[in-house]
Amino acid sequence: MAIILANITAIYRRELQSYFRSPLAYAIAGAFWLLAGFFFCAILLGSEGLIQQAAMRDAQGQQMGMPVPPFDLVGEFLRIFLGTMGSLSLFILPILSMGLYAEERKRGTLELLATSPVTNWAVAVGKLLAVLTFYVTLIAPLLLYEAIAFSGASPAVAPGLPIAAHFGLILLAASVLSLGMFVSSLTASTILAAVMTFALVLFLWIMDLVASAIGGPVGAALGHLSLLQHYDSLVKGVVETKSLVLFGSYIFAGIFLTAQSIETFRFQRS
Amino acid sequence: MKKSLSRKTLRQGLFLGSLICISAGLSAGFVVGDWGPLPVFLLALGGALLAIALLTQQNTAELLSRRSTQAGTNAIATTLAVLAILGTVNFVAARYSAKFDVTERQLFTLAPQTQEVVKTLATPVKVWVFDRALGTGDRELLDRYRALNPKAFDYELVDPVENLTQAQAFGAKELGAVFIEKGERRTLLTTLGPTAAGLSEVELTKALAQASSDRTEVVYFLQGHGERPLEGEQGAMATAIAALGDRGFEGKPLSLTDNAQIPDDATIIAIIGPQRPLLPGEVTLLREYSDRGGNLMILLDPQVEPVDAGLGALLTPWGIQPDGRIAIDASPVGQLVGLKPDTPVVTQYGEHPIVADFRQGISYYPVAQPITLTDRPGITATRLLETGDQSWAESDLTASPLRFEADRDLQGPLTLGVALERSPAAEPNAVNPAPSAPPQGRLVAIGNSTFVADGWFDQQLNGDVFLNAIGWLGDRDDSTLSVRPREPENRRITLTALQGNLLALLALAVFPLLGFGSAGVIWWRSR
Repeated sequence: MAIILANITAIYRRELQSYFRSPLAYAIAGAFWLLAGFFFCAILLGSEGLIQQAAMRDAQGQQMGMPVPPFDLVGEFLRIFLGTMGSLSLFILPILSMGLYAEERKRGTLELLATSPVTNWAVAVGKLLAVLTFYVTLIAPLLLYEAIAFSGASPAVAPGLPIAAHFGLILLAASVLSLGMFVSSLTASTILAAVMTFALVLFLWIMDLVASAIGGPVGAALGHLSLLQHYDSLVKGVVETKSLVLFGSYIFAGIFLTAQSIETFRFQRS
Repeated sequence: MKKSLSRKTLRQGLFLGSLICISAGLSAGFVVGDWGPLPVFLLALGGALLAIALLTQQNTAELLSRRSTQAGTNAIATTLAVLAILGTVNFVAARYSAKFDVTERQLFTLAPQTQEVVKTLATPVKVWVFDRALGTGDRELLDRYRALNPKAFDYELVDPVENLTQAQAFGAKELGAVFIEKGERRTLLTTLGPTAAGLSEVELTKALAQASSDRTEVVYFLQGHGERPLEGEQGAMATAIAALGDRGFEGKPLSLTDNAQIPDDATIIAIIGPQRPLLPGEVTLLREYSDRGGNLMILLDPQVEPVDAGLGALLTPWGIQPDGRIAIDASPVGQLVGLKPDTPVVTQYGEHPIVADFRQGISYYPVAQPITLTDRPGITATRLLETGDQSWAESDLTASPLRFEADRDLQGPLTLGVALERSPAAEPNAVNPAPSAPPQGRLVAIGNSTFVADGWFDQQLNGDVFLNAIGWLGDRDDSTLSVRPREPENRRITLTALQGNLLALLALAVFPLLGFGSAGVIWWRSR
């Protein structure tokens, strides 16, 4: 048991170090921070942003003599901003996961990895944790911005909703990265891996549209698989065990399929 | 060589053929929408061709014994097994899912009263929505209801354009009609539309609770003093009577001059806009009815001689007195809706089950008078309808321009409607020992009757005021009426200029530059 943990930790550290040494990783971080920062400012601070909207509503209400219906600025902001972040992540995450195995295959180190005493799924878990940590580093500045913005909130922000919402974002990222890791293990071309991952994730994202077109029990089952529906409900503040189980299933499926694909690779002649 | 070539082309042909068959089968199935014999046959044929093509490879036997094939098949079998397990786990999780609503105000959880009503539904109830599509909010609400009691609660969306006969069977007259079906009885709940607010939990629960009680309550409308007729000519309240019918209340006229007796089945007696005073004998009968625990709705228009239409002996023990002056509303809201100053607009409602779900909705009362309220022991009074600050009760309508005169007029905000209840415990002259169910007796008094007339009843919340008041008067148990709508916390963010600039700087400059800068530095170093 301790050996397995040590193995996972070793893979984890190796991957993480390679991220911090890679200019591409920093460039992706810079681009993501620019886009996310832009959305943050536009949604909250901009002239069409939420603070302006709320101020206009209040002014109108005072003018009319009619009380304004209650409006939770923080709740609305989290819903819109994290919804945008979810969509943005759909583009970023395939790029993060594309190199996990495809790079190794391209460089020829995959044979070493596949035949090493470290089990396949331990390698997969280590890589997944590393790329997830990298994603959390990407998200960290956003938490800082939110902390600054929410410090000016009155009445004070209740912790439940922000925690649930960000937890949803992390779960979504973990699911997508896990599936992306599997796709990456199938091919030597990183670009192909990124494109296929993107297509797969897009398909899962819009699954609820497909499901409503099909209808019936098959449609209901497919609709349940939709990432968007469960992510939205988490961001709203509704934590359902079925959503948690679904995300967990995606993560587990990704790791398992990756291990299987590497296992098969072991016995293939290229 | 030739042999293997032709075999190769044959196999390629088989592959191509199988691909064509499979795609033909799939597209036939999807386009027609029905997986009939033809698509299935095509799919089977394609599958068979594919199998033949795969199995007739030259070195099949060799292939099958190779380790990679064994490992591959092993992998596929394990994968299918794991996917099946995951599928089952998710299926079970979807059926038996626990929900935790972590929003501050429990916005996405149904109220305890709703939960009780739905869980204890005696007979199955079905909600029919006749519309092209159901909004996500409404669908979620109905899903939550169904999750509480899937055996007894169900809902269905019917497209009235496609299913015209079904729509007609229900009597659905417009898009967005929502019906509640309980056994044989079908009642119209509300009409959804682009301007309407959508299904509300309060409305739905109230309707469910009402649908559960099968008796029809009778509301008697007093006649003979110029009150609003129940049907026919201008100024009638036919729309209101029809709406009462939908809610399980039957409206009947009552003339106390013909038959000097209050009928036994009178759940509520309503006096709607009398123009002439009542006879003392009638007032005595009504007072006795009220003292016995009867329920009264009294809508009094101003400009009637005398001001209280002779009901003084009835109203004074309750602490009510109509003012007589006309309420004038000078706030901009009325002008925005197209009303004149003599039609006060009410957007502020008291804390009472009748108006609990109105929030900031609008109701208006053409030519109304304020009601003066005095405290009386044993009476619980609640001000229902209040006008805004820019209103007053004008005593002289001929003055031009209309202005508030402190010596003659009453300054707003004015109370246009009150709801009163006689508390059972505080009966001072109870000679008999405490009865098992002390009569309560309720009364709703509003200084205007025009708002329930045809043409005014359907405007904004006017109809709801009337129907909810009748509902409260007739309800023995008002636990369902006290369902309150969920509202989010009213929260604002105020940032100083410093904070705002800091945020923009961090988000748009500092971190992006950090990222790109580090990328540049590392790339330069590793050259």
